[in-house]
Amino acid sequence: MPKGPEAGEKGDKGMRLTPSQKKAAEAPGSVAVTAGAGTGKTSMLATRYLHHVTVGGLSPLSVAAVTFTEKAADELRARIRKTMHRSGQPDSTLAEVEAAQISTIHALATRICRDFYDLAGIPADFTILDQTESPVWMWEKFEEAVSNVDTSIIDDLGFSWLAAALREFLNDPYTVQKALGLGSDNWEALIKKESGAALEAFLNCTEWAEAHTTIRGIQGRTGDRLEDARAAAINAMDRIQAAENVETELEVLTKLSAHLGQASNWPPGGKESIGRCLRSLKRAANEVYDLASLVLGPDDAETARRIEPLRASFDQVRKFMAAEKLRERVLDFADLEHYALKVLDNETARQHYALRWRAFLVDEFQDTNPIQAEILELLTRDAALTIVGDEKQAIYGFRGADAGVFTRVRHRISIESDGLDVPLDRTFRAHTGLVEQMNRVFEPVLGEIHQALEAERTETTLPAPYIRSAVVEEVKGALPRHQQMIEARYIADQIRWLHEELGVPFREIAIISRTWRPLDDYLRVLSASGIPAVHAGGGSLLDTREAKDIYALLSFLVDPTDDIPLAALLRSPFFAVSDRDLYETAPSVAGASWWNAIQGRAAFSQAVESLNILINALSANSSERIVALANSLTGYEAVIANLPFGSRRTADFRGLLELFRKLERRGRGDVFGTVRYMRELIETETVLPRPHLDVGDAVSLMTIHMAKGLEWRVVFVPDLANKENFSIPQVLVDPEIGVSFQIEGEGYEMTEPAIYKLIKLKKREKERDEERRLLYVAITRAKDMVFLTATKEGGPGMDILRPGLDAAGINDEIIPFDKTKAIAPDLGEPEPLPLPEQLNTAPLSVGPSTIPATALSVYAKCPARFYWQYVEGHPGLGEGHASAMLIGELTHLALELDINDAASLRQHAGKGAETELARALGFARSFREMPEFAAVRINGNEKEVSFAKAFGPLTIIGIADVVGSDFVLDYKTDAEMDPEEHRFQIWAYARAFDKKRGYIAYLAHNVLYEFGPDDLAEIDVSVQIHLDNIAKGLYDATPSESVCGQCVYRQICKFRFEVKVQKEE
Amino acid sequence: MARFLNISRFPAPSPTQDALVITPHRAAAAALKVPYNSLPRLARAELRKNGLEVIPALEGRHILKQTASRILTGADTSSLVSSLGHILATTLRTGIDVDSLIERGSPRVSDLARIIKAYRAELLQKGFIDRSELLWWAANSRPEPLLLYIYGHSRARKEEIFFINAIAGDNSELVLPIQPDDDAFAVNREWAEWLRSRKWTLKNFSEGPEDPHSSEGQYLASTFSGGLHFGQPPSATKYSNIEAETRGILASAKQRILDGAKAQDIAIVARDQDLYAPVIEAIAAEYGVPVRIQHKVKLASTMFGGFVQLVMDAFALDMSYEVTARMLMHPYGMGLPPGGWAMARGRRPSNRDEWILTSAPFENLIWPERQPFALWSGLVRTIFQLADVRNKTALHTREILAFNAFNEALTELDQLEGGRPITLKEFSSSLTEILGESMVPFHSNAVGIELHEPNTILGAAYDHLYIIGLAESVFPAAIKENPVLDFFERKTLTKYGIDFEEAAEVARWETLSFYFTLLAGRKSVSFSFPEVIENSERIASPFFDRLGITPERSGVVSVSSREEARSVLLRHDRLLDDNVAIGAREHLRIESLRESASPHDEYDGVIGVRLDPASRTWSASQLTTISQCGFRWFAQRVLRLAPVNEVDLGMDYGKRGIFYHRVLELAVSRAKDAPDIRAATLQHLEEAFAEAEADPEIELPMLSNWQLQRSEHLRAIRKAIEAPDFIVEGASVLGLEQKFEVDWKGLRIMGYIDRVDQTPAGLIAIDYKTSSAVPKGAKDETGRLSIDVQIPLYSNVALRQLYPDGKLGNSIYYSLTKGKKLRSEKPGDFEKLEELIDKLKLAMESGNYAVDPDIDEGACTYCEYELLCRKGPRLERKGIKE
Ligand code: SF4
Repeated sequence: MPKGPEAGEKGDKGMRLTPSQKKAAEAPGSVAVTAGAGTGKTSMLATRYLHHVTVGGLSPLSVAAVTFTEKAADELRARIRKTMHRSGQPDSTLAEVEAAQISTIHALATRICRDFYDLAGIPADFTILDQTESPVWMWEKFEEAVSNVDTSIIDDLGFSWLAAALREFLNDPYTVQKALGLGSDNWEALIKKESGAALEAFLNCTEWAEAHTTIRGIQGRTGDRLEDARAAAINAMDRIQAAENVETELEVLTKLSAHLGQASNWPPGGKESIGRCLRSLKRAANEVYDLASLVLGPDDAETARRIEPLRASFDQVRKFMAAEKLRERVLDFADLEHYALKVLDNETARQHYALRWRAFLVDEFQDTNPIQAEILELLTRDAALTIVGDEKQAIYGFRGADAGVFTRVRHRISIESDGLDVPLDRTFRAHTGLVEQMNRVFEPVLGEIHQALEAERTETTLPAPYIRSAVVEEVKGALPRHQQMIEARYIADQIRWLHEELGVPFREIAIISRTWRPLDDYLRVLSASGIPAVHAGGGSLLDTREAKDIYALLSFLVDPTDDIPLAALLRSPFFAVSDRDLYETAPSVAGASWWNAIQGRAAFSQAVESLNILINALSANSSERIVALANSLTGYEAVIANLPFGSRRTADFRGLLELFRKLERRGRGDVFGTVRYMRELIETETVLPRPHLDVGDAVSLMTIHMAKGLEWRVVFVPDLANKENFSIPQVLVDPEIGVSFQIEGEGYEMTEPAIYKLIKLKKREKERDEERRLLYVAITRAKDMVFLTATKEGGPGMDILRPGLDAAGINDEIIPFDKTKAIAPDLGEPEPLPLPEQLNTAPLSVGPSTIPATALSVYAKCPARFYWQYVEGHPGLGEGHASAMLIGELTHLALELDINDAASLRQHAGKGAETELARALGFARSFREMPEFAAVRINGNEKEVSFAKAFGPLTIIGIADVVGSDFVLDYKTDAEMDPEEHRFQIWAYARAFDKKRGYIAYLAHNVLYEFGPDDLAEIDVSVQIHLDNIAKGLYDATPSESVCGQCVYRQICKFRFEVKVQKEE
Repeated sequence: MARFLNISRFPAPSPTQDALVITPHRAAAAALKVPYNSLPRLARAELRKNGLEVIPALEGRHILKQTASRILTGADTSSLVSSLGHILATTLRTGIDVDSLIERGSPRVSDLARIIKAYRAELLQKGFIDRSELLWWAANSRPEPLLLYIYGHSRARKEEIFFINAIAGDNSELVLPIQPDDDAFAVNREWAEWLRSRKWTLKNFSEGPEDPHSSEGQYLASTFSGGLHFGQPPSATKYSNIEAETRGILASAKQRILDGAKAQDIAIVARDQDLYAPVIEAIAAEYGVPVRIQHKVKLASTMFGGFVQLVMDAFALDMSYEVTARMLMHPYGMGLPPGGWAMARGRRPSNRDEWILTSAPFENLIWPERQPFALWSGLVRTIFQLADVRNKTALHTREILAFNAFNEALTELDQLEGGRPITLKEFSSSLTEILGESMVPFHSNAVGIELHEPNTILGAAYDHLYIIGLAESVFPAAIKENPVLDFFERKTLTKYGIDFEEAAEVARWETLSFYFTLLAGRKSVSFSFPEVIENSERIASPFFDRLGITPERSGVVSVSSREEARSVLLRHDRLLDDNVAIGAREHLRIESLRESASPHDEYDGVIGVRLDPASRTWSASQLTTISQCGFRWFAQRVLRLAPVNEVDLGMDYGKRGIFYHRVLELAVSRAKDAPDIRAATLQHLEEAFAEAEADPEIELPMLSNWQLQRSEHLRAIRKAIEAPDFIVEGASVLGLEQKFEVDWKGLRIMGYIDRVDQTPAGLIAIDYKTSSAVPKGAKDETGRLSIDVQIPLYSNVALRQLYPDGKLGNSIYYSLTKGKKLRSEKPGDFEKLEELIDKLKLAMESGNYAVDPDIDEGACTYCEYELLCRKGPRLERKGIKE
C-alpha cells in the first residue's frame, strides 16, 4: 500500500503549530475546525488532546476521540502518545492514553451496546457482522423473513416486486424505516415547494432577464420560423410569469427551435442575437424543467396507497430479522448504531457517559451519517466538543453520510454554544504555485464551500504549469475503448517524462480515478511500456479470474455432477486441458455426466487423479486446506504467479485463502458453506475488497476513495469524460421525502410518479455535488503537479471542472488519436521471478524432546500409534474404555488422598457412577489391606511425585504413584496383567528416581509384580533404540493383527492391518 | 526462617537445592529442565486436604445462572452471566471484599456483587469453590510451608504473592525482576516492599548487559526499558500482510533448523493468536516445519461447531432452504443421495415435508414445542448418528476433540437441566453457550517450533525468538474496557480500597509483557510488522520506537516449500525434479498464450476439427448463439454442458418463459375458434394456468415458494392477454406451437412458432418473450449484436414453407411482461441472415469456436459459460476486433 507520509507530520515539526492550528487546539470551549487538504489536522488534534489534559485537567480516560477508520484511530493515538510524551506528561497519564476511548464511531457504538445491552434489549455477548458478512446473513434469512409477510399484502403488491423492494430495503433498514414512516402526507407541500423554488430560480436567472429585454426588442418578419419561435417564447414567458399553465409553457420553452429562420427576415445581426438569446433561454428552461414541472398525479395517489402495505410488510420482515439476530447473537454496523441511539435515549445512560467523557474530538465529521451525528449529539451535550471536517472532502454520500451535518453542528458550536469556528488553511502538502492554481480552479467549481489555501512550501523542482489538462482528439468511428487506450498511452508517456527527465521516482506518482474500472487499462499500458505500476486493489475479489477458478473448484467438489464448474476447472490453469480433448470426450447424450465421461481418458488422467484425492479429502479439511492441497497437486499458484501481473494474481489468490480462514474462524470453513458464501456474495453484489498490494517503487493506481488521506508528488486524475451509468432502481428512498417507486401505468410501461421524479432529481443533484468534492479530493492529493486527462472533450468530470480551468487559464492539450496505438498492447512475457538465496523445499523431520513415561510402551507397539497419541494428540476412537479408565483415575485419587467413602471421592473426581466409585474404593481397600502389598506399604513413602529426567536426547516426564526408599511403585487396575507392556514405564520411574527396584501393584489381581535390578538393566538396552528413533521423528507403523486389533486409531489409520488382504495372499 | 526475594533485572534461574521449582507454564519448566509444578497445583492440594474441590465449569455456570435469576428476577440470565464473568473472576481471584462492593459499587455493580456473594455461599455449601478463587482461598488456608523456588512469575499478582507468602518455607526464593528506573515495574516494586515487610530478604544479582554472558534478549530488554543502546541495533522486518510475515519468519526458522538449531529451541510470539494460529498452521504445513501451537479455540470456531450451529438454525428456521441445505451438505451432514443436491436446487424445498420429498433423511426428526433438555439433546445425538459425525470428525484431531467436548457437555447438561420441558429456543441457547464457552486446542501437535503468547513465555528461554504482529493495537493490544466495570468506576472504587485493575496498570502490563518476551531470547530476537491485517492497514507498533529501530522490507528471496519453488523457478531454466512443476510449466505456456495477443488456439475454442453443419438440426436460437460467440455454442451444443439452475425465491427467468408459453398455448388453443379470441382466452386462462401448474415437465418450485407468487403470475399473463398488441383486430389464430422443419441453405432447421396469426395485413409469426427488451441478435460486421435471426427466419423461411400461398405480414416479438410488440421484421434483415449462415459454415469448416463475443459483450450477459471461457480484458489483445 503506498503511503504518503501523513500530511500532518510536517505540520508537527517541533510542535510549532500555525496560528490557526494553535487557536483551534487551545480553544477554551468547543471548536469547529474546517481543515483543508494537507493542513495538519492530526497535529492539531493531538495538541488539542494535550490541551484537555494539561489545561483542562482531564484524565485521558475522560477525553474521547472518534475517527473514520481504524487506521486513523491508531495514527491518532500514536500521535497523541508522542505529543504527550514530548510534553513530559507523567507515566500514569501516558499509560492512560493507551486505554482512552480513541476509536471509530462503530467501536464507540459497540461499547455503548455492550455497556447497556439491557437497555438496548440485546444479548450481552453479541458478535459483529461486518460489511461483507451482513448482506450474506440477510440473504440467507430472507426467504424465512418473507414468509412472515401477510399474504394479502403479497397478493396486493405482487411477490417479485415486493421481494425485490424488501431485499433492497434491507441494505439500509433504518433509513428506509424512517422514510416509510414519513408516509405521503407531505408530498403535496414538498412538490409545491421544490417546483416553486425551481421556477423562482428560473425567473431570477440571467438568461431569463436577458431574454426578457432582448426578444421584445428585436422583431423578425412574420412567417419567419425564428420569428414564430420568438413569439412563442414571449407568450410562454408571459404566461409563466402570470403562473398560468406553467408546466406546458415551460415545455414550450424547452422545445424552442432557435436555429431556424432567415437572416434576410431580420434587421442586421438580429437573427444571431435572437437565436443566441433563445438558445440560452432554452438551456435554462431545460435545466429547471424537470423540477419546476412536477405536479402530483394519479400515479402518486397509487404510490401513496401502496406505502402503507409496504411499510407493514417491511415491518414484518424487519421484526423477523431482528429476532433472528438476537437468537444468533449477531449485530451488524447499522444495528450497532441503532441500538446505541436507543441506549442514549435513556437518561441514565446519558449521565453515565457524561460523567466519563468530558471532551470529545471528532475527526472527518463531514463523513458522518445522520444517525451517527445523533449519537454524537447525545454524547457531547455537556462536553467540550472539537469537530474537524471539510465539506469539500465529503465523499461518502453514497454510503449515507451527510455533509450537511458538519455544517449544522459547526453552526451550533460557533453560534449557539459560543465556541470557535476555525479554518485551517495553511497546507503542508502542495507548493505555492500549485496551491494558487488549485484555488483558482476550485473557486468557481465549489462555489460557497470553497476555501482558499496558502502553501507552507514555496519551491518545487518541477516545471510549471502545475495543473495540466489533456483530452484525446475526437475521431469519427473511434470506439470509447480506443480513446481510452490513447489516453492511457499519453499517461504512460508523461510518466516516462517525469521519471526520466525530471527524476520523479515512480512511487511518487499515482493515477487515481473515480472508479476502478479504467485502472486495469492504464495498468496494462504502463506495464507494456516497462513502467512498474501496481493496482493497489479495488474492484471485487470475486470478480478476479483466480476467484472464479477457485469457485469452480469448490463447486465441483461439492457436486461432481455439476458439469460447468468441472469443465471450467479442466480448462483452467489447474489442469489446462485443450478444447479438442474436451470435444473428443464430450458425452454423447445430453445430461450424461462429464465426471463419468472423463474417467479413464488419458488426456484427463492427471485431473481425475487429483480431483479424486480432493474429493476424498473433503470431509477432513476446510476450504483453505482443500485449495492448498489442490495447489500442491497442480502447481496452480506457480502458473498464475508467472503470468502477467503475477504478483497481483498471487495476492488475489492468497486473499481468497485469507477469506476462507476468516470463514473458518466463524465455523464456516467447510467447502459447501464456503461455496454458498461465495455465491451469496455474488448474488448480493457485495464487494469483497481485494487485498492491498505492496507498491514498492512503482506507480500506484487506485480509486479516489482509496486515495483519501494519501499524497504523492504527481497525481494523474484520468477518465474525466466517462459517464457512470447508474441504473435507477425501481424503488427510491429519501430520508426526508419518503419512499417512492415506478409503477405500471396504463400503457403497461413503468411510469414515474412525480414524487419518484423528485427523489430522483434530488439524488442526482447530490451525486453531482459529490462528484465535485471527489475531484477536489483527487486533485489535492498532489504535492507538485496534477494531470487531468479525458478520452474526449466534455463529459461529466471535465464539465464540472471547466469553469475552474477557464478561470485558471488552463487549456486542454489535445492528444492526437493514432489508430495504431488504439489497440490494447501485448504484454509480452513478464520477467522471471528472482532466484532465491535459500532453497529449502524438503520437509523437516523433527522428533519430540519430551515424552511421558507411558509413551514408551506405545512406541514399542507401533510408532504410528505413538504419533497419533503423543505427537498429534488425537484422542482416538476407543469404545468402552471410558469406564475402565475412570476406575483407574478414581483409584489413584482414593489412594492419593486416602479416601474411603464414595461421597468424598465423587466430590474430588467431579464425576463417576456408583459402580465405578465402588470398584475404585474396593481397589484402594485391597491395596491398603491385602497382605500381597504389605512389602510396599511403608510409612514415609512419597506419593504422586513428578519428575523430568533426561535420557540422552529425550526428556521423560511423569508422575510416580509411590516413591519409596529404594523402589518405585505404580498402581494398575487393568483387567489383564501385562508386565511386558508396563515394563518401560516402571523402568523410567526407577531410573528417574535412581531406585533399584520397580513394582507394579495389579490391584484387580492382588499381585505385586517386581522388576529387579537385572530386569531393569535388560530394559536399558531395548529402550535405548526406541529413544533414538523417537528423537529422530521416525513414526513408521508396525501393523499387526494384535496391535491394530486393540488400537483406538485403527479406523483412521491407513496402515492398519487388514485381515482381508491377508486372506487374498 | 529466611526467605529470599530475587529482584535481579535479568534473573538467571538457579533453583535452590532440593527446592520444588514452581513455574507459571510448562515452557518455563522445560527451560529449567524440571518437572512442571505450579501454584494452582499446590493450592489444589491444599484445597483437597480441606475436603473441598473446584467446581467443574459447566456446573458452576449452571449454579451461577440459577443464583442470578433468583436475585435479579426477570433479567436475561445468559447475558447477565456472560457480562458478569470478568468482575466475578477478579473479585474472587483477588479477594475483593464483596460486601463493600455491594455498598460502594454503582447500582449495576452492586447487583452483580450480590450475585457473586450468593454464588460463593452456594458453592461453599456444596463443598466447592470457584476456580478463580483457588489461590486466594489457599493463601488464607494456612498451608504447610514448603521449600520452593519460584521462577517466571515475573509480574506480581496479588493472589500469587499472598499465596507464596503463605506457603513458601525456609530458604525459599521468589524471583521477581525489577528494572529500577522503569515505571512499568511499579507494581512489582510495591509487592517487593510488601514482601520485605513480611521478612523476605532481598537478593539482587543484577548483571548488567555489560556482562559478556548476557543474552540477546537482555540487551534488547535493557534498551527497551532504559533507552541504553548496546552494539548493533537489531533488525526488524516489514511485511505486506500476515501471510507474507508468516512465510518470512517460518522460512528463516526453517533455515536455522537446517543450520543445526533445534526446533524446540525456537519460538514465535504473537499477541493475537486467533489471528496468527491459522496462518502459521497453514504455512507450517506447506513448509514441512513442525509447529506447536498451544492456543485454544471455541467450539464455535471448529468445523464441528459450525455444524452444530447449522443443526440449530435448521430447526429454528423450520428447515428453510438455505440453512438446511448447508446442514445436509456439510461434510458432517447427512448428505443427499447422488443427484439430490441438483434436484434440491431445482425445486427449493423449504420445510421438512418438502425436504423429505427431495429425499432428505428427515423422517425421524420430529420435535414437540417443549420437551426436557435430555430429549432435545437426544435429537441432536440422533442426527450425529444418522450422519456418522463421530467417525467423520475423527479424521481431524481438533474436530474429534470438539466432538468429544461437546458430547461431554451435553451429557453433563442432561443431568444438570433436569426434566423441565423447555422450548427449542431455550435449548438452542444452551448449545450456543457450549459452543461459545468450551474450548479445544486449536492444534495439538506436541512437537516443533512453539507459538507463544507473551503470557505463556514468561520464564521460558529459547535460542531464537520471533516476535511478530508488532503493529499498533495488535501488540500492544488495544485495551478493552470492561462493560460492567469500566476504568472510570474502578478509579472511584479504588478510593474505597476496592482494587480492580486500573487502566494505567493494564497498559503497563502490556509493555512489561513485551519486556519479558524479549528476555526469553537467548541468541537472537527478530521483530516483524505486517502492514495490512485483514484488509485494514496498520501502523508499526510503538515498541519499535522504544527499541530505536524501524522495520524495513526484507530483500531475502527464500523458497521453503515445493509450492514456492515452483512459483519462483517456473520460468528459469532450472530443472525441477517435480512432475507437478513440469505440468505447471505447460499450463503456464497455455495460459500465457490465452493472455497474449496471439490468435485463439485449441485452448480458446479453435478445436480445428471440422463439424458438418449439414448433419445437425438447427434452431433459431442456436443460430443466434453461434453467431454471437462461437464458444458459447460449442459449450452448449457440442460439449453439452448444461447449467444446473438454482431456483431462487421467485421463479427464475427461464422457467417463467416455459411456464408462460405453456399457459398461453393451452388457453389460446381453447379460445382460437371463438368470435372474440381475446375474451375467450381470458376466460380459459385460469384453467390453463392450473393445468400448466400440474404439468410435471415444468417442475415448478416447491409449493411453499410457489404459493407466494402464483397470483402475481396469473395477473401478469392476464395483462399480457388484455393488451391490444396481443392480437390485432380482425386476426385469427392459425397455429400454436407450430412446428416447422426446413432445409435451407444446406442446413436443416427446425423450430416451433409460438403462434401464427392470419391478420388483415397477412400471415405473421408471433414469438412470445418474457423479457421486456428485443432479444439480442447475432454479431454484425462491426462486432455488435444487431442481426435479428428469429423473425426473418420464421417469416421468410418457416412461414413460407408452412403456408406456401399465404401473403406475409410483419412477424413480431411480443413481450409478455410489457404487453407490447417489441419489434417487427425490417427490410434487409433477411439478407443479413443469409450472409450470416455463410460465415457460420466457414467457421465450422475450420473448427473455429473461438471465445469471441460481440464488442459490448452483450452475448455474455446471460451466458452460462463465463466460468469456463475465461473471457476478460485479454480478449481485447486478440486484435481481431476493430
Ligand atoms: S461469456 Fe461471453 S465470451 Fe464467454 S462463452 Fe459466453 S458469450 Fe462467449
